[in-house]
Amino acid sequence: MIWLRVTGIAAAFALCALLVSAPASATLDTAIGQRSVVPGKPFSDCSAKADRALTTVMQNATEAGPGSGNWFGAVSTGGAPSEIAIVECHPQGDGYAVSFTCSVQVPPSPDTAAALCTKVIAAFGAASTAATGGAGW
Amino acid sequence: MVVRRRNLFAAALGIAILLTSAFAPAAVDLSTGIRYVIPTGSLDECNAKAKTALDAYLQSATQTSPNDWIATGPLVQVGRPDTTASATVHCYAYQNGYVVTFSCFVETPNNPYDASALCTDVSHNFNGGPQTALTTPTPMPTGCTTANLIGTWQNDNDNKNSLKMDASGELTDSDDVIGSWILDGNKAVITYYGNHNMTLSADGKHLSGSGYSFTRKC
Repeated sequence: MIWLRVTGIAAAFALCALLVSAPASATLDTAIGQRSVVPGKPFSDCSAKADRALTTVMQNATEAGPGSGNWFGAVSTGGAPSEIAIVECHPQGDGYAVSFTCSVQVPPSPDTAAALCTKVIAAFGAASTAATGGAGW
Repeated sequence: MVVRRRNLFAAALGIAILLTSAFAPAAVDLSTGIRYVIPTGSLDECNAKAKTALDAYLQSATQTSPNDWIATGPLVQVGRPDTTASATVHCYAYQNGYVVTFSCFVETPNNPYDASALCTDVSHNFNGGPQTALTTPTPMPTGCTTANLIGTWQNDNDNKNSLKMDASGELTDSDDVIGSWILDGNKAVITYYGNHNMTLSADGKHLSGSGYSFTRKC
């Protein structure tokens, strides 16, 4: 009797696994990361860190117009872009404001847009730490 | 491109970056770089206009944090419930006015318009520029079409077994067991108690393979 129950449970799990493995249709997931204001730093500092952060996370970084401070990077899956991250720098007071926007196609992206933005924000912070030797921004 | 007006200095760098390949199955298309510098105005004004602009072309514009806005869509989702488009608007205080930026993302080829068209319309709605109506999704054909498997399919070998296949790619049998379907040309993959490779007939009415045979009610 116990053997039969175990077999039944195993069969149920196997059935669930088969059904759950159904290919899902892709959807677009977009998120805005936490914006930050960095006082007392030049605009060029933001651009440099945006470049480094995107290169670290996305393996590439492009500025949408020279000197614009609007940077983006993309990760491709099977030759098609499936993850995009944008870092925007803007002069503010004696420093700058920086914002982060991410969009991913799920599947195939393993990350949500929010998770991708968290990585980029962390990399931007790490770039700040590396550049200043301080505790971050 | 830089456009100067008496009350508005608009630095609109409309950089549409088509990051997709025509042969790629699906990809994210990006448009970013449209940026207006408004010399006089408040952030409240920017936020109000951002919400209005996003709501004009997408659904449920939401303020994720002060001065940051996001919306998803498309506005009309006929038979396609998944999100295939989104846009963000950021407002920044700048001198006596503000700077506003726009970024758009669409999933190609599943969205009826590209990211550039979306961002152009959203940004033009913001500043009162000319707008072009975006293409709305074409309703999926139904009946015995060869374009999809939407409909009710009767198992030819079991009159108690039928499958309802919907526009989202999901199928449900007569016992509410769910699975999925994908159609590429006339080749179908039916995930229902395992994956089954099947073939759709030229009249769109018969689906057979892997020991199964179904007839569509149409």
